[in-house]
Amino acid sequence: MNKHLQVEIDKCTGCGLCQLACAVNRSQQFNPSLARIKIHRIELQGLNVPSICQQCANPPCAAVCLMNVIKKDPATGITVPGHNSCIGCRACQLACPFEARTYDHIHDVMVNCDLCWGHPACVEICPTGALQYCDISSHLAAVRDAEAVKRTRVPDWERGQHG
Amino acid sequence: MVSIVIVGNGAAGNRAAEIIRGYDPGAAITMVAREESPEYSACALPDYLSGWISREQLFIKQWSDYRKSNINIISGVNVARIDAGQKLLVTEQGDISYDRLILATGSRTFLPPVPGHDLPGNFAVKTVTDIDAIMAHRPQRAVVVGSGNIGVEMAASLKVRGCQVTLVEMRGQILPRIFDPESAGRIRGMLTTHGIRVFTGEELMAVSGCDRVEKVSTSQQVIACDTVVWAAGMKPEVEIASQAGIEIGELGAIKVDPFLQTNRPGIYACGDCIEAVDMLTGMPAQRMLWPNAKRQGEVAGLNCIGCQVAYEGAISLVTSEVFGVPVASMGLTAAALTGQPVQVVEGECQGSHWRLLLVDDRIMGMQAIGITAGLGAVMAMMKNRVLITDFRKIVSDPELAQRAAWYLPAGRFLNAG
Repeated sequence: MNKHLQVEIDKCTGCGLCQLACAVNRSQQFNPSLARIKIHRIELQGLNVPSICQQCANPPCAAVCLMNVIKKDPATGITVPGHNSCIGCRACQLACPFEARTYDHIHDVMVNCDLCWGHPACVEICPTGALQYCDISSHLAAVRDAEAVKRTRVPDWERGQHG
Repeated sequence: MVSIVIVGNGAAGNRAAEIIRGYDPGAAITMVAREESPEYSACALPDYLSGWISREQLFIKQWSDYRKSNINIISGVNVARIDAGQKLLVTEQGDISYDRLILATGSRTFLPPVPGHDLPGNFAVKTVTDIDAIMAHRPQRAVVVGSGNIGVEMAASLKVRGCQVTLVEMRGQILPRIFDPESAGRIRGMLTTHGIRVFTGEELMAVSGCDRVEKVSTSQQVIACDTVVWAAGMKPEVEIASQAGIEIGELGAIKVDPFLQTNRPGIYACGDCIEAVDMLTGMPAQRMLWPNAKRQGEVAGLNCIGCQVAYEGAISLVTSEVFGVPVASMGLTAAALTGQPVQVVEGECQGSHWRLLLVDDRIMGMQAIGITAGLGAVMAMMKNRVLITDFRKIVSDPELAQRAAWYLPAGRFLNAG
């Protein structure tokens, strides 16, 4: 099983509860700037796009890390920030294209989403279900099906019937 | 069994060893290193000097990590020469034969030939032993020569240690290679606010003193000091390569093909000692930076075991913290883009400042002070040569913005979104 944090942008209202839950759960402060999850809000368009660590297979943040502390956990495939020797230089922030690395100014280290050891606080608190923690393959299948419906404008059951 | 020998124990050499081991558990890997310590982060040396991190924290590897990966490391050994014909590495402790050789010899501090540069109290900034020596010297009044990233970080670290610090730069601004005069001026202001004296446009003419450093003379003045820290640039370490008939480029570094092979088949080179191609300009350039060295080590390692990987080019990516304020520079500066129609986009927000350089509607460089969040998106756009026109189209269309959400963090710098 390969579980990941998934986002359904359509459902996100930009309320920011996930950021507060993340910050308090992981940095013990109700400060959204400490959250590992961020929301890009384009208010004029009513668009709210949460962004999180994508757990890249070959993470660009690890490739630039000046202390070589960012590692992939061999068992889970999660990108582990590696706090012990992090000097907070922020090179990883310049390398990550998803703005998934956060500077934790309390502990002066760079952090990223590590899925809260399998119980992401953001998912638990998300009021609309925009954030889900699910098996990536079943999620992708669902996304693909929904997309097919949208594009062909043919409901799923019909597509199934007529091939 | 293929036998691979790597000269150098820095970022590039270690990355090469790791990637070869990852792909080929059976390869015999030998590393030959001049320094008598396991791999450490040279970037964090100023942080060690300031006391921000401990000496132990510098070290990325322990000796046991080499054993665990079955990498034979011979440390504290100087390589005398390469016998490319016999495929032999001649060292002071005997010869080592190789099938493939990776040169990751790095660079050394450039010491201009000014009188007195060999007096006790002169220090280079390259290795952990250099920093140990500075700390043992207990500097009270220091002159830092050169205001590149290393010079500025060293000046700040010495200041944190309670030293009286003067920064002397030959060119008209500090950080000349990575910041434009406008942003550099702001950083200079931060340094002077914290009590560092900064003199630009002054060349260091001489270091003098009886039996140790007592003062330096610049082209403008005489500064009393007990310590001179040399941060006036790095020179690629190419001696053994050039003696072996390996071609050296115009910039004084080892010339390599896109697969990081030298003109001698079977001999690869990576890290500070090579002349890389700049990712943005396509021109030969030296970008002696940790991330570039690591990537080059990866490419050289892969190519030397037969995986064909072309190097995509080096890019400048520098981050630093000046008295608690993060500063960052990526890509090229306006000076490096001379002759091209550069459009500057500047912005300011809550004390932070940024400056983007656009050429032909593409980002070619960016400098930021006080803000680093979201720079990754700009970096990705710069590397992928995304047109700003396309970027604006994407962020102004909700449908597209959802699908290409990774563009959004760049919006705050480009007054979009």
